[in-house]
Amino acid sequence: MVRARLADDGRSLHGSERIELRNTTPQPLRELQLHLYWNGWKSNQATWLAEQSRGLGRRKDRKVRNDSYAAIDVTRLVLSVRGSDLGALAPETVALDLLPSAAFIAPDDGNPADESVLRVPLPQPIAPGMAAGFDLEFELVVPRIVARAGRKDDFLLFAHWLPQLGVLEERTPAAGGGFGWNTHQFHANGEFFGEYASYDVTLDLPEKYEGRVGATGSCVEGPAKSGPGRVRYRFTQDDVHNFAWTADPGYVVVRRRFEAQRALSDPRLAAERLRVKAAAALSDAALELRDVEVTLLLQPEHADQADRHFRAVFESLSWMGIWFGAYPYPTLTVVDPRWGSGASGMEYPTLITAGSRVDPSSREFTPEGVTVHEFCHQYFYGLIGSNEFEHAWLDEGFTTYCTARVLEAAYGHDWLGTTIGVDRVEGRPLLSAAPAEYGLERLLGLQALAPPSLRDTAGFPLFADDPAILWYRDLPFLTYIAGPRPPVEAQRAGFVSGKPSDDRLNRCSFEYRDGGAYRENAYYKPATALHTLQRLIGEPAWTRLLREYAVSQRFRHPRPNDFFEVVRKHIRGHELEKEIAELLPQIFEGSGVLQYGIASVKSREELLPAGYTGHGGNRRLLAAAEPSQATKNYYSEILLERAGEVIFPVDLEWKLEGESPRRERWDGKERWWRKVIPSGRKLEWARIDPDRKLLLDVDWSKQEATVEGDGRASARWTVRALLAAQTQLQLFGALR
Amino acid sequence: MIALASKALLGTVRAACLWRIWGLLLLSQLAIALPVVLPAGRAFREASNHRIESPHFSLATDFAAWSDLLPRLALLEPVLAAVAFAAFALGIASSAGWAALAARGDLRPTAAAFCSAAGEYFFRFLRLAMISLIAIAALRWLLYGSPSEALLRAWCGSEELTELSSEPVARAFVRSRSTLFVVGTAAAVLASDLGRLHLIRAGSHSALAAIAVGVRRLMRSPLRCGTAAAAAFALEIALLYVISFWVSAASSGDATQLNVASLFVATLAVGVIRETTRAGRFAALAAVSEDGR
Repeated sequence: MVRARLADDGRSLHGSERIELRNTTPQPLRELQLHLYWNGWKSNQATWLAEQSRGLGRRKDRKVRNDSYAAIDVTRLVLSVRGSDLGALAPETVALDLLPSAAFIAPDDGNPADESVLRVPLPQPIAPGMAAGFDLEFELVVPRIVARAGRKDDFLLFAHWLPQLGVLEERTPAAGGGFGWNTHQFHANGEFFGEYASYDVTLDLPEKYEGRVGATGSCVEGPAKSGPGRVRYRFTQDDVHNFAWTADPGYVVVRRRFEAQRALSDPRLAAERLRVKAAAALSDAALELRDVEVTLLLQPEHADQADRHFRAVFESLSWMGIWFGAYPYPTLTVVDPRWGSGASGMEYPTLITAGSRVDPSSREFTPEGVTVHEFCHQYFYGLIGSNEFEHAWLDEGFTTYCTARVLEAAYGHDWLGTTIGVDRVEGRPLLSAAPAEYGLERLLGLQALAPPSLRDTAGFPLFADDPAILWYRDLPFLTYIAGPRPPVEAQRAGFVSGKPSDDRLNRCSFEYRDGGAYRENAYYKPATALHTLQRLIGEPAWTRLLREYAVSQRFRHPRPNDFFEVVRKHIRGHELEKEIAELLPQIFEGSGVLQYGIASVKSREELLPAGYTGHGGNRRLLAAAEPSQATKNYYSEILLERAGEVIFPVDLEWKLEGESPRRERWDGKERWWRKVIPSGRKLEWARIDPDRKLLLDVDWSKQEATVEGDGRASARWTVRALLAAQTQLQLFGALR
Repeated sequence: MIALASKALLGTVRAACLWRIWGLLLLSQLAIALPVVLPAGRAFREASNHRIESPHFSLATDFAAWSDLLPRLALLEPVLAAVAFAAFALGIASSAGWAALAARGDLRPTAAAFCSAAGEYFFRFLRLAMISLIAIAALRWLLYGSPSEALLRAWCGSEELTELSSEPVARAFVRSRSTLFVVGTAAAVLASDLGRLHLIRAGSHSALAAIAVGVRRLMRSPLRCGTAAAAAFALEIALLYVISFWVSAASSGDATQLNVASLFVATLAVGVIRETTRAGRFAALAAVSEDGR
């Protein structure tokens, strides 16, 4: 139970909190550990800001504004126990001040300046099964938003703002076994981990926020006057592991109800429901969805995007509900944060922040992409409460994977687009159309030069950054390509364009080599791995597998092995059971890449026998002769190679002239393998992974090969490259 | 104004008839672009041989494979710098040729006269271009450098656009700044073009004096100068838009010899449009500066 009062100027908050805790472990509980996340921004010596200044985290700027420092001080911390719950302390009710013995700890980096974890020794252990209550008071200094928490002008987003218990969990044998607190410090790379609880939060706010407040859970009271110029709200929610709230006097509030029956009458969803029912052998009841009250808090400039948000949310509620079980909460709040608040794209229980901009094209996934992604987190983070510090991929990877699946199921695909300044242009420059770092800047993207001599000598680019000049330089209507962008392939492209071998996937988020390695290993690689596993394992086993994982781990804190166990269970009897089992640690533990390719294909005409035959007087010379077209015979070979470290069998498919394609599997263990077709018709082509299952393969450009090349397509692209080059070069010609 | 726009149009059409001149310029442009395009062509060719249905090899049919190919296409920055400088020099030479044809009534519109004028005025135009570039750089510093940051800091407490109160405000700021920069850059290019015409007519060698004349003429009749340049620019962009449909049509569907050839012709046409509209601009500006003498 929390009561919080925000000061009129929005720069401080006073709160009181009662935490009721029952020791559900078999061991006595001797101490508490509390997260005080906002102390991560207390000073530039605190771990979060110190890591930020070293270039970790999402923010690029190293400087911290004076008003971006924050603080949370616990000013009172009292243990109040009913006598019956704490036999050893006999009195009927005790109230012990715990603050004097409390101390900050830094379990991750030993940083003495970090105050994001408070350790509170208990005067008497709480016995297994016993309960205790703790009363806290705390003061918050509210910062200019740092990492999606704080204020911007009078926009407020309060996330991870409460003193919050860590998670009391059974340690792995490697970590010493037994039970203990899992309470990491607040880090620039990485997110959170909390225990499920019931929240009852009363907010006392300045009157200007009346009717413009959103929070985790249901509003059970308010808005009600709480004093002159003040307004009060009360929200409650069970079974969530955090509580966030937001307020902005400028919000445009739109409410709509997601009606489960109506959603399921959609033929697409009805068909999917039948498919999942059959695949996972589920009852109709297990596939029921629940009605949800959805509140959209929009910025006025995005008011015309309400329908797009609602569709994204309703589609997500439907598809995710069918795949992973119904969304169990009665409410969902979607927040469109204020411009420049940096609060876009974040998930909290029953509350998500979206990401949008003015006038998005109807052909792109803005705002849908972020809204769907953050909703998917309601499952992989919210309901399946994995440890975001230690296994970021279990929430971000699964969520990224689900985002692609929902977007594909609901919308199909979006389109390539580029932002020039603040304006969106459909399509991307021809030679940077791929997401590979939008990498052709180094080829025809002469923008990298801009022009080089001036950039180097004057210390700033002459033309870069100006949208009109960039437009004139690129002339998008001549040099851009607007193509479809399938979500799954876009995710794979994100994976490939990163640095897949820079780091291994399964490590603490704050221990990754850098922000790029975090994004690669928390988001793109696991998502691509899941798409790969989906294709390898196939339906219906994959549907069953994911469903079982999601349902069995609901309101729990799964670890990677919990997922692997489910995978191993569901691949029993699969033709690639052993290989898939061996693939799991290669992907999820190692940093190797999967890369198979066709090194060469050859098909040579077999010569008819010629030369001497026989011996002595019987020796005769056979003259070389040209075989007739009908008797021509070819020796063909296909050389496959493994350029990556990850080993997995690959299928080879090849076609001889006039014949049907044939397939053979290579175990992929050696560095190369030669498929010889000693005799037969001429080889036309060969390809590996013909069903495109191995999305994890980092280079698809060498997965096919033809014996006789065809230059027409390459000639056309080369001419397009010439046009792009000329267009870019004309800017230099125009500098006179 | 209509007369000036007509001059620009007429100048463009006349230049379009001078096929030897723009043919020469196109060949030079192709030569300059080759170091950039040939490696790309080789990579495309290799990638194409790795596709079973190579005539269909396009973004639409194989986005992922295309993505994987791109990292292999890379050139060294020094090569790019050399290419960029060559393009810059060609732009100056071409301007000298077209400006001379527009400003000197005694010059016969032949390729030889064009080349001769390009050589004669090249270094003077180069000096003028440097002055123009310095002006543009100063303008950029003003609008994007410390003064702009100071303005933003005074306005919203930070040099970050994200500190502005709303997205529409930020967009308006970006557009206003961009408009100012574009107008300023256009003015710098226009003043230097007027200066070039003066250099040719007066036969002077001082780039500084020429640009001063250009600035004075621009300030005296900004509307007429602006109309002359804008008419040529509008014509250029409109024609390029037309070409873009051609490019798009030739890029879609299966690659055939016909659409490869068609695309190449479209690419050449883009070069022709740029050069001839440049000639059109000089013709219109010559009329303005003639009136102002």
